[in-house]
Amino acid sequence: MSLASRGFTLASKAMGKLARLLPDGKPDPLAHRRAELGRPADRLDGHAKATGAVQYTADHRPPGLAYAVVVGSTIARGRVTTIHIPPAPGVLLVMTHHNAPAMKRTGAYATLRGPLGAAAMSLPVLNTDEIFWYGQPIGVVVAESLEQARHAASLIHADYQRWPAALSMTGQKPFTPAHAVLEEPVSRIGDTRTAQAAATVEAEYTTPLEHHNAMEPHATLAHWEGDRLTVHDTSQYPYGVKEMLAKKFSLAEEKVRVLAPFIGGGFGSKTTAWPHVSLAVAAAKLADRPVKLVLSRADMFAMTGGRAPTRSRISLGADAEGRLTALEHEALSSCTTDEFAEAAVIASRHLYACPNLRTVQQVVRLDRIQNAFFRGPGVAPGSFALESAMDELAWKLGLDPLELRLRNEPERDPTSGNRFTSRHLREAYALGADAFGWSQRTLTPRAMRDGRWLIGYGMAAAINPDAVLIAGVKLRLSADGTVTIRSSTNELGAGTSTAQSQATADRLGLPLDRVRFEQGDSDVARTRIPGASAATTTLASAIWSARDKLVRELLKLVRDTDSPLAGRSFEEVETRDGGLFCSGGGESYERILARAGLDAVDVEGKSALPYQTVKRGTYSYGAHFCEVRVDEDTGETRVTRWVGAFDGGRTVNPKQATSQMRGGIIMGIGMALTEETLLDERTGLIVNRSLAEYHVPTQPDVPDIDIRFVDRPDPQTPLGAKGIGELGIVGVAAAVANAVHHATGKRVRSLPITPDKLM
Amino acid sequence: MPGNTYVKARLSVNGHRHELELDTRVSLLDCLREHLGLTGTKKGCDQGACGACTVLLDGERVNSCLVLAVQCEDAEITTIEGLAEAGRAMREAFVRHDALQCGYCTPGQICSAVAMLAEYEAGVPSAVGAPGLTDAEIRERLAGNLCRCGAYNGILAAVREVSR
Repeated sequence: MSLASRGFTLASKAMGKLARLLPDGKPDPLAHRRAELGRPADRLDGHAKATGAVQYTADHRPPGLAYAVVVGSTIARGRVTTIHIPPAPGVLLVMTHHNAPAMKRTGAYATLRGPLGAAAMSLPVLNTDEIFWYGQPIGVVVAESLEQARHAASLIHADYQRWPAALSMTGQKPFTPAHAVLEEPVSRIGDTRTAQAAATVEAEYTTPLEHHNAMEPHATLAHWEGDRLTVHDTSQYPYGVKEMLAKKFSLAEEKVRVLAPFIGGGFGSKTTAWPHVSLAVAAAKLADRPVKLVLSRADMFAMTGGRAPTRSRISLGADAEGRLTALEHEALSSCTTDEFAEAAVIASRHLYACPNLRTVQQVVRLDRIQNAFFRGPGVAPGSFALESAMDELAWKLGLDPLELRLRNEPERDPTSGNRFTSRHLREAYALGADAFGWSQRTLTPRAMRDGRWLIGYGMAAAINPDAVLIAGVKLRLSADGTVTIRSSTNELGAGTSTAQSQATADRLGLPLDRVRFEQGDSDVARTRIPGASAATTTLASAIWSARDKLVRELLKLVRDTDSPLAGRSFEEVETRDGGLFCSGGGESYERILARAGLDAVDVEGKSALPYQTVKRGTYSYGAHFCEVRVDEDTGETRVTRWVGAFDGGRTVNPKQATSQMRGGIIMGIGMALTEETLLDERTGLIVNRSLAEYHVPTQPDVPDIDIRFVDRPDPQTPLGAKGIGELGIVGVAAAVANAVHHATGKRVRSLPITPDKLM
Repeated sequence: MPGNTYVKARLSVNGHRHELELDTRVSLLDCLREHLGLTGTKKGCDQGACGACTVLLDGERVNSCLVLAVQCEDAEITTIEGLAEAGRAMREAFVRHDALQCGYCTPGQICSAVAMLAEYEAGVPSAVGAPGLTDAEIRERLAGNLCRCGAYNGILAAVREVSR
């Protein structure tokens, strides 16, 4: 282990010890409430989305708008010696490393070193002639029209001095990173070397480079007015983009405003800001006009990162009863100059009871674009390895794979020894198995057939760390008794605005139609929810705090009046039925404001420090059960049935939550069967950079997906909820691989499971 | 330096006539979005692979990124903004069945679904070929509209409901 990783490990152990001294979190009184919360409300923005009225980043057209197109490098490593820029009509300027404004270097977000701005990488793109990856921006054309910009960009080419590039994970020297996105890189319990076992499994599992391919391409629209900068950006983290741009362009933070109320899907690809964001801003500065830069689908493969490829070596040992005696997971993934290590070992640390447990996360440095967060970073590819290996172990022991998992369900966190805030995985297994009819499954593979289709059943567990992050909100109570919540978060499809409107309604005792949720403005409050399935609980925590402040403000207003609330303390009053009430009566919000002669009361709220999630293990859980059919002749695999059962704490909006889980499972089906970004390891060129060649699941690839929730509140989290945005994808690829084994008797350990691997 | 070629084009969009002077390279998609401000139609790939830009050209669905604007002179173009009555039931069903998450593919899905039902009624064949508008038939006929959020089950339910 390196000095840095030792230091990080010691510091996080110390923090864990400190957290254990603190009291538990305050149980949320709303955790058991069922008014708006728990109601399958239709999405509040559904109509606006279905009519095309919602404005996404690229939909804005300010006067004087110019269009930018990026030109990428055609080598992976080296330097630009000459750029050839033939004249072309309509061109306003071509920005290269010769004339680009200085952009200060900013630390990469994923390394969590220093400030937390949204920069995806620390490399100085377009402020140097150096090339770090294939497709790195070497020029930005700004023209009067998109067609002119595209044409001019097609004429530009460069001469290079080529340097050797590290492009393949094979042959590079693995090293232990300082941390794997705040996870310790190495963990060790007991001694795996001396463990006794009646059955063992030892195998290597691999997952490929993958790209998110949100439907909305990355886009930035930058507009300078003097030294004030307004940016519309497809960002999951508007506040972080504001911080990054302020630093890059040496501006005071209050001069930069980033707007991103609606995003056409993110999945982690828009958590960090890729170089084009700063380049659009720089180009707008040079052009002295608003500039819109929308990446093409091909650019999205070259100029934004994907999920790092992983290799996992898993060793399992179990006694004759199927109790694990040893679990080892050594994982390797790729990073770049910036040390972004995905913790592929997370599931192995927290899913099963095992006295001897060793996990190691290592990385190799490659000359590729920085890897990205991608729904279930680390845990999604890592769980493919662990959950496949568990299936192999069950087969060796002659045990049902569900029974094997039940025998290894832990009472405490296997790695930290901490209690869990809540863990209802057993209930999820039972719900899912019952809905699927798992008890009908035969142990033997190749036992079911329908003509040329071999049929198999597979299952896998899911786990994802639950996090409460940092958010602020502004709450306005107006004289008409309506409430507006403003937040710097945004709506990327998860249903945040609807869920938070429901939470606000119940928190303040209002009907849903008296609550408005406004989002996506970086200037509202410091808010750090770039992903991590954390929006629901973090925002709910901030709104809860705003509600408490509002109550105190309203009690001040009624002091020394004839109100039945006059002289009452904070603890004595409740927010319900459209106002404040205590044992001796109460009054409506309108009445309180009318008497005080106020148009509105404004308060701010901040999320609480989430130390309970350091003190205890907080995870969401799930169980996948699926049926596949494999064509015996062609090796084509179809997923024909799916049941997913989940413990995500209490369910805030069952309709949206069901969609969220289905979405994760569908993305997981793509990961299992078709998704793979093909990078030519000789040149660094991504060869399948289109949706025609990178195959995401289509409508006919997806069966009816049956979603069940345990729906039991977590006693430690806001609303009793736990994050579920990423949970759905975790374990999906393993469930498919396990079902393919059950259907065919063939074990595929490298994703995706394409027909050639089954023929 | 070769100049750009501009031509005068008369387009009829959602019942409104527009006289435009267009670069011949402008796609119908970019014309709608950048020239007419009809941004309900979305650009997902600009390569005809995702369906997000689906609009109706004389009632038939097309990927507007694959059509040049100047080709559409004598056609009636209908976008999500103009799909008023014909689209109402479909839009409401989409919301009710939660057939959308981020909403970016949704206008294309809805245009595609409305035109698909008309194609089915008109006897246009599909690869499925079984009688009746089965779930398999609907899925196959909507295979050209990608949804990365994975709202496919909801979309199927919405289209099934409207088709009855």
